[in-house]
Amino acid sequence: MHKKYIHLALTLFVFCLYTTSVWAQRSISGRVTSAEDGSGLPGVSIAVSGTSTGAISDVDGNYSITNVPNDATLVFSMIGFATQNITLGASNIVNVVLAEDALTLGEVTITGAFGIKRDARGLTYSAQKVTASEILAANEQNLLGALQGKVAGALINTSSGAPGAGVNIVLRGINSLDPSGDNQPLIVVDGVILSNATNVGNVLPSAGTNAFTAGEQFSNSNRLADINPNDIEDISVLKGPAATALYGSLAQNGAIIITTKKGQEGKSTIQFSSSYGTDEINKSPDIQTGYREGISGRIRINADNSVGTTKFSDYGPPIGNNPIYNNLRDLFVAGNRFKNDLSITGGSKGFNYLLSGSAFNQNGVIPGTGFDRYTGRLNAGYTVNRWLSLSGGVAYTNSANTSANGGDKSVISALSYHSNTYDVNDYINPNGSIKSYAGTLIDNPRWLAEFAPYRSKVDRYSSQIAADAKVNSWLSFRYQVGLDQYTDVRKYNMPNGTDVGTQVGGFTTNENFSSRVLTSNLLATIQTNLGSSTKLRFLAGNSVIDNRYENVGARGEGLVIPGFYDITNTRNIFPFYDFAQSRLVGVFGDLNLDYKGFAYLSASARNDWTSTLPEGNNSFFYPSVGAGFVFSEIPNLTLPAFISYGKIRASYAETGKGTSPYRVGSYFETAPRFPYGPPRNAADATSRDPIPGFRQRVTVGVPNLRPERTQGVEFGIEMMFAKRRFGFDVTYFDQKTIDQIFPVPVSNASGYASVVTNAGTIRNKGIEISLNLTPVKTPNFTWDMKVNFARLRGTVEKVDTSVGTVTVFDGAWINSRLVAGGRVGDLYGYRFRYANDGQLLIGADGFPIVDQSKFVLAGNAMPDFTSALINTFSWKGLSLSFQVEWKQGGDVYDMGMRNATRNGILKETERRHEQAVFKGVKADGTPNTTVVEIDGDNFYRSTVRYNSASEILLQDASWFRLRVVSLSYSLPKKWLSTSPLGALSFNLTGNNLYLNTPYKGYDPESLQNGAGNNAFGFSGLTTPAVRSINFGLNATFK
Amino acid sequence: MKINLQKIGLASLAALMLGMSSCSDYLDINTDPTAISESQVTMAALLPTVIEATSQANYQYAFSINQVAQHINGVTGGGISSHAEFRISSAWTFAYLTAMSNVNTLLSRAQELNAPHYAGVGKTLMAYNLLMATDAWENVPYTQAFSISNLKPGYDSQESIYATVNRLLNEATADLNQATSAFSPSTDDLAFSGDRAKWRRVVQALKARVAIHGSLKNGATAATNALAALTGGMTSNADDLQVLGNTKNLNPWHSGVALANTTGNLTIRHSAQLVNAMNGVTYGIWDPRLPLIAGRVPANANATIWSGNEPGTGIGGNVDLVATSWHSRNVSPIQFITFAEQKFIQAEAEFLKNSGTASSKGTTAAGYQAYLDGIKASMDKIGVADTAKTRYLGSPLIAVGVSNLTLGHIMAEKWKALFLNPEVWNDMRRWEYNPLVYKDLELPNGHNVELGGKWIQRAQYPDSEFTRNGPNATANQKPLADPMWIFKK
Repeated sequence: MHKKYIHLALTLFVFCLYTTSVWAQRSISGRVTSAEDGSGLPGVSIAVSGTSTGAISDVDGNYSITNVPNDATLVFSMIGFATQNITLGASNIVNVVLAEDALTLGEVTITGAFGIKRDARGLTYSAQKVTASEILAANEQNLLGALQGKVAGALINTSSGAPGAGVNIVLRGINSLDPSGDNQPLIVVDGVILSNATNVGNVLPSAGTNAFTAGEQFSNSNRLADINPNDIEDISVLKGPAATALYGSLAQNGAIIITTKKGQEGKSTIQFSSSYGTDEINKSPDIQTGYREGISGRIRINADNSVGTTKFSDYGPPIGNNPIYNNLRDLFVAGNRFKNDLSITGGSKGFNYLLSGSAFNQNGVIPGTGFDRYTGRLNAGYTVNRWLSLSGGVAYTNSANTSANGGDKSVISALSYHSNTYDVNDYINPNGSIKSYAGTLIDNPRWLAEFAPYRSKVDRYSSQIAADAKVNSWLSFRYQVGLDQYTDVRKYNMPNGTDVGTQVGGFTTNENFSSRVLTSNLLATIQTNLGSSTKLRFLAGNSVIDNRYENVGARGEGLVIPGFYDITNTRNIFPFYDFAQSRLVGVFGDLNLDYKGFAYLSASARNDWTSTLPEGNNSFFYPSVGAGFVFSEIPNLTLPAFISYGKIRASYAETGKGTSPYRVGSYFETAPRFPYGPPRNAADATSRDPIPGFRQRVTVGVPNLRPERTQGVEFGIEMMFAKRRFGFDVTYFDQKTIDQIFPVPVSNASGYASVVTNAGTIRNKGIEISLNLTPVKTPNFTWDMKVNFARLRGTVEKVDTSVGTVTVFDGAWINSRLVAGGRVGDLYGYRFRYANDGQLLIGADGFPIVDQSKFVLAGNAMPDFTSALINTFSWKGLSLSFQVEWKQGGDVYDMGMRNATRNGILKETERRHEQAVFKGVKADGTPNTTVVEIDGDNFYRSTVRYNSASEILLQDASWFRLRVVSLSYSLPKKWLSTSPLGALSFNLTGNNLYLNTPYKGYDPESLQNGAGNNAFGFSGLTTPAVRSINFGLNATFK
Repeated sequence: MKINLQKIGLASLAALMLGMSSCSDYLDINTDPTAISESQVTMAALLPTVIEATSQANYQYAFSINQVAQHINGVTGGGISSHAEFRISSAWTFAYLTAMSNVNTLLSRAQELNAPHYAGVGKTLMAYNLLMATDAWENVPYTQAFSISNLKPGYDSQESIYATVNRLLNEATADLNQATSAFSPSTDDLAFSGDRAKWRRVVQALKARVAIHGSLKNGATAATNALAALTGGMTSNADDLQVLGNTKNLNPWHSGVALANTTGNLTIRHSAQLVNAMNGVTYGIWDPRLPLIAGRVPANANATIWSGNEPGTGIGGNVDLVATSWHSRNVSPIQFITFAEQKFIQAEAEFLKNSGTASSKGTTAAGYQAYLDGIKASMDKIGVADTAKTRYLGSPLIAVGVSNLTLGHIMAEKWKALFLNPEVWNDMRRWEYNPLVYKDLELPNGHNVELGGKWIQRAQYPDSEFTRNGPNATANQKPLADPMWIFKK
């Protein structure tokens, strides 16, 4: 009774309508078991042929279906097993034994555009799938982090080790010349677009900051962090334009299609899991232990020769008996994480539901930082009648993130300057004020972390509802509408007296981001046979996307009462408001032909209308074609016995794209620092009202902007051998994005800083390889191996002559630039001077010389290749898996290392007070013989001799790491037979346990500017990455 | 059910078709609600921006240029203090991107709407910005600038820029003299709240400044033109063209220097050349302005001598621009051109008219009086007490008499009175950094070897011009030690 009530309530909640079924004819139930060991097979799909009715077997293999026509045929199918068709006889109990099918094992179902399930065999492009168990085994709370190593070619970087830190993903390289362009794939959850934005916010004061970007200050969450990984059934990664052609302009950079878990009809099942883990930083730089704080080998003194009150940098006398503190390591504490998940699933008679909730609570490695996330999800499906079924879902996330800042004048930059002679954890005076060894020169990082927190509170609702209408055996319709919206309320407090707060008297910011994405999809599908040997599937559809973003906020500067961070307690209030809305309407068609299960042909076309381009140019059409040929299935063709499967495929696709809103034309806007003057003060008769001021917006868009286009070809070969024990999938792709829209910097004398126009081409070529190998397979023991490898080259093929250089990021000493003829990820910097024969040129003073006259190509941030090896060993209920990854190449500028070098903190600065002769030649070409004494200040701290040279600043950030190792044990079912438990397992997981890299700083995988930023090759001033140990249990209740 | 289906099908088809036909309306949302179009912007909305950006540019110029002029010195030494190449990129950005481009829009609007009062103020500001730019970089864009149709504007020669400046100032006088104007500046005029008489006097003072810049080319002409312009010039400190900071719009010397110097972002401090000129070391007389324009660090320091950093080094100083120093309070003004400067222009012009040279003595009575008036105006402006002012002005070292006045007296006082005003660099260059005029002036420590012992004469164009407007920047680039056209004989 109670359960029925829940069902009813859920039904009303999701669908707002309730209809009774009238076709009940028979109810069938039974159990599906494995031919191999007789165990129940969960997840077997049981379809009633000719209807949309069906069921999925439960954990024990049991199923039941209602409303089955009397003479129906049941189709039992599951990946890896031979499909069985059973025509119903007299009995209402149908038990089935499924045998493993050598022919289909290893094949997967890919969720393509608009949620269309596709058998991988028929695909004409590359796609990879990641399953729920792989996601859970990764033990990452950010879904993108869980994809690391699992997708060939995906470049995934966690922006830092801070709780809730954003994760950036790039699938087939940087496609955009626009420094602020989006190079990340589209995220679709259950058919609806989900915003994965990383909102940076206005966290910088009006004066007193030298930050390169606001994004460097905090590793803001990418909003996919709102998803509970436990809710995910699987993820299909569609990499290239061929795979995403139907999504059109939104998926120029690929698409990640996420399917959440759905309810299963039948008895309710409750699942509970809980895990606890600890985090610690996985690597810290080596420090020098020979010298104490001071300058040029002595303690600092004042102008009048008294002992200096200023204490800064470690170029003082030998340390003697003074203690040494490894602050770069000891600021960080052990973090911890606690995750609890509860879900209930079940259903009856054409109805299914899943209700899940989770709590994740994490404390970071910087004291005071943390991330708490609570999620709830309800998915339900209801079969109204034989031609109409409804499904829907609603998810809610509430999260709170407290972070410590990075970048300029931050916790981490203060740490990078902190003397080894003083304990960083001696940070607070008895009255609560900051205790910094360097006076007001820098802050104590620990105090800053505690007293200048940044808080983000997110409330997010995502919901979608879909109606599927099956008109007849060959025609069906689907209409889906989805809404994804969130608010992110942020608060940042900075006390007066801090490095960044002093110039404005301390400040506090309030921001309120809101985002809303509305999706409407209408699809019509025709599936039919053309004659006896050809199957046709044709899909036509319409899609409408409305994307809106708003940020309302204010910063108050000049705190009146210290420690009270309310905007009304500030002298100057700077309000800000940001709004953007864009709309996209698309119509598309997609034709797939399957000839006898071995020849596949596909063609699609789409036309988009975007609000972001001028009328006349805002409609654009693009096609795709592809062919697949499964040569191992050709009738009457006998391949050698060891070849069990073989397929080649090729495709060509184009996509078009609009741009960001409001880029066309010229605007006038409120000028910076306006309105001029503080608000009128009633007590002061001479005070005036603030005066508004406008200026021409410094970016102007040409009126005839055209859509960008990505054109790509892709070839692939898939083969399996030795009864599918070994297989590979190799993809080669070559794609370019032409007519790129981006702001071209122009002479300020024109009155503009940049002009948005179509101005260049980037081309990405690469190869992606996946290998599968099962070296051992016995009834009790299995060893599976999986390898992903990718190599990618992005080149800037063309930049309009008017542009010259696109500076993606100016990191002062190292710049990330896109230059015509150059490669994506190129880093520019100063170099030492060299003689013509390549020897280092030594100046008359006996020191090397940094040539500061020009920036030259100094490195590249992109890896030569990325690879991962995943090993899984299963022995009865015990499973051990580990994933190692190897990234070769890719240079990184450690921005913290330069600070610490200048201040004599690092091991590299320990050689001092010795006579040295630099190896090199003098200006006249003779070997250098000038003896110099290095006192530290005259070399390591010198910009012209040492620390501005790219040879010093850029490091090889190749690494080899043990990403995850996981041991799990499931109790044998027979032990549980008398308990309410259906299954019980325990797991022990370690993340990032081992890292081997020539890079000297913290883990180089961190991205200085956070997720969503295109500046690769910069790191070091963010919370360091962590390694974790996690223990968990999983219980399923019958 | 079948009927339902048909209905649904028809309805969706209708909806789809309706959707398609109204598609262009549906997509017509690409107008930024947070901004306005050119036709909506008013002159009153542009003028404050232009004046404020000009003041920001002025600060950026001074921050670099006044290191060369040895008012100030990088805290750690080296850099511009030692004549390293400098570009003043942010001044270029403020001047071109905000000040001049928007005043250009304002001027075309004033023309179109028949608002000569706005035109007069606008032309004065355009002339001021052009003069600042050409004195920093020599050849700069103007005739091809401020147009979407030419993104690589060519540069005008300095000679033609000076001609343009003179033309704009003459036109400004005519415009400001117009009795009627469809619109006139009022509170949007951050400098004078629409007081046209003051703008007219500023225009005359600027004409005198432009004229005196030609002193090296032809001293007599420069003097004559300057004196002619001063008829109708400023009459008191109340006529100073300046922008006051406030508790919200902090004076940039306050936030960018005084406050920054209390954190890890050390910037500049007073140069020893300046402090010595005021503490008695150079001229034998204590200048009561010193404690008003500099603060001791630490505040309770007990050293008896006030000292500045040796030019080009980071050592020797015990004073700083602190948050209470006259130029670096939050409400301090950024001074464009002042009555005191005008008085010193007059003193110099009279001196030249009297056939004065760098080594000669004696001037006219009017010239001597202008010299004293200039000192007095400067002291009044920054609040020197009457007794101290009288004592200083009465000292035989200052009140030397008409027949004993030298150029050194005039230029030293002008150089001190114009503390943190980049105009002093123009004076130094047209007097060729002559130590007879600027006592004890020496090349800084660590002098840029590329200059081969010569004084620096110019800023280089910003890097952005080389990357975005390369051919024009390259064609106009000259060596650092090459004097500009205006500062050559």
